[in-house]
Amino acid sequence: MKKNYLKAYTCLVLLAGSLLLSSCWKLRGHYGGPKSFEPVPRSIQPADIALPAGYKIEAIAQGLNYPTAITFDDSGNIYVTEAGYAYGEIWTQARLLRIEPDGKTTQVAEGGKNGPWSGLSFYQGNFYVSEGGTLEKGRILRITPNGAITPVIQDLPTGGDHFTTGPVIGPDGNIYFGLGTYTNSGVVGLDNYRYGWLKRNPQLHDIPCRDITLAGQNFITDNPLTPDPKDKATTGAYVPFGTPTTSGQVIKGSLPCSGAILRMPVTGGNLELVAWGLRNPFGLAFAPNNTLYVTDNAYDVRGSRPIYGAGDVLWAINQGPTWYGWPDYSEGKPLNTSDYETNKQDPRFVLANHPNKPPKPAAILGVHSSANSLDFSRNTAFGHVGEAFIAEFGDQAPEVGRIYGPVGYKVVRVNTSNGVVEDFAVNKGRTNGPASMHKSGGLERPIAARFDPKGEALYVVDFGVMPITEQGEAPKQKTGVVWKITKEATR
Amino acid sequence: MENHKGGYPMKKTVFNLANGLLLGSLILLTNCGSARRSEPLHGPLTMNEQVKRGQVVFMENCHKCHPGGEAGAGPSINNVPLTSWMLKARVRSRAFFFGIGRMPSFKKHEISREELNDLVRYIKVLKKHDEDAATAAR
Ligand code: HEC
Repeated sequence: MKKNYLKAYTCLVLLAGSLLLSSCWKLRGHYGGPKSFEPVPRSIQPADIALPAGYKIEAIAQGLNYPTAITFDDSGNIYVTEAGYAYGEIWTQARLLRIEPDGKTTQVAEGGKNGPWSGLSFYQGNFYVSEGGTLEKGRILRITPNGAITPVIQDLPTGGDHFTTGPVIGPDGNIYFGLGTYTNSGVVGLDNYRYGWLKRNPQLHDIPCRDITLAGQNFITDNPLTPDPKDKATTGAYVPFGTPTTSGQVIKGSLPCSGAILRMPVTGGNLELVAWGLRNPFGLAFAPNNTLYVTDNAYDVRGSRPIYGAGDVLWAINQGPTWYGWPDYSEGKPLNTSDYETNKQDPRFVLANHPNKPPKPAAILGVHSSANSLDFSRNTAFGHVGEAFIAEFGDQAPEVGRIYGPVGYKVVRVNTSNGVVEDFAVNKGRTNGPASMHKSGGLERPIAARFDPKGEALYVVDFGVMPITEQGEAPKQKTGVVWKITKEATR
Repeated sequence: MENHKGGYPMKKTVFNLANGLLLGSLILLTNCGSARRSEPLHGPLTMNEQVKRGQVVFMENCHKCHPGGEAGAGPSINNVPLTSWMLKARVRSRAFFFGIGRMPSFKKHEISREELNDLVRYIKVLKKHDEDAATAAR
């Protein structure tokens, strides 16, 4: 009796301690409102960014409009993509630009209204771009140096919450690319309506790569697609909004599919499954040992099937298509435990059985950090050879879940042999966070990290200022930057 | 509290300790240090083998919500005064009061007793790293 009393008191103290210390952090709400996409002034102060001893950072281009990816041609010229679409639903011109030595840009190509252009590679004289597919589905585009665009593949099932991503050319000469899922965790819901696409495309839903059997879980929500405000909709997994499912129901797998990495020859043609059961496989890169690695943005606390506390993952991709766990596992762990529950309801499995036990991640990154494009160091002159350098875009809280402090907004390096994650380039200050929140001149939203062909400099694409306002994401036009990190004391 | 009249000196000590911590937290309210410890800001952490093992345990289980011991999906832990005993209690049992505890608990099959010791060493070494002053970053 007394023992329990004591135990209870101890817990109370522990908790009171946590609560009282709340001046150390506070749950972050919306900021930067009202929602507007208008450009804002952005100060650039490399001295506001901390790096390990011996490294230096400089901005080599500024004023870019939602830049997303970077690559280099055979002569070492630098190219970036501008997305043409950003969260909060704004369409601008998707472009491929060359960055000149003086920081000015020259347009190489421009796309249609089907962004975002999310990834970029250069291979044997041509550029390869992933086009997200907000309005006309996903594509992989081949762009010649004089700007002629040909789709290598189109009609890819993306453009919901996530996009077609990543193209990298493998050691086998194939293009590898990612397809993000339409939804957070398999079920179309009101979060997708708020993001805009459910209204545009009420028939969309996730597509499995192989046949799957459903557990028959359904979710009841308001129905925003009908005028009657009292109207309800019942929706299962892998089906359109308002469609119920039954236990044992089989959903046919097909290619292309959702939450997958696929590959095909650079000339197009035969499409092959490389990995599935991913959520938003944003960044793809081959390590020096030729293993393919991918960053996967994990579940949010939103929609009909919210998932709490899911860390973004760096996966080493196995040969012989493995299933990585979406929509029933996170970081290789089953979702049907209290670890991932929200006060709304505990996540239960939506699949009746699972294709394989998901592998263990190469590393687990911050919940909501939005781990995006990555590259591996290959040159001792830069250091950390074999480690992955990952650009973390930063959280979109509170839209995706509550947080105690800003997550991401930096470049981390990862030892893939033991999963240790270390900051590499991060803003100075008492707490972490984007420069605009600190009123400093440092990093905003790093979205891509890539080494130059010699491996001497790490280039970081910074998407620009994007606060999360009461009305949603408000990415500011023409605030994008390209940073260059080098080691000062090489040789 | 009358219940404790007479006897239970051991428990009383714990009880007072708890009261002290409660007070400690109150005092800290006014002066809460920064939780930042990472290499770019404070230089590399010097680690022995045990601390290195503890770091791996941290990365697998804690980093996602307390990145580098800073705030994220969970609060910062580098700037919170916690004894090894309280840290272990935190890891093993869920804070269930008022139903607001969001941090998972970790059972022995998830983090073994040895791993927990290593983890606590790592957290303590990381916390102290503060005092090395900012060497690297400028
Ligand atoms: C899924 C997210 C999550 C994970 C994983 C997690 N924590 Fe926590 N942690 C929290 C939250 C949220 C709190 C705030 C109190 C609560 O809700 O329980 C917290 C509180 C704490 C506290 C108390 C801080 C204070 O102010 O008193 C400590 C210490 C702590 N965690 C350590 C750890 C360690 C060590 C691990 C790894 C074994 C870990 N946490 C894993 C989310 C997490």
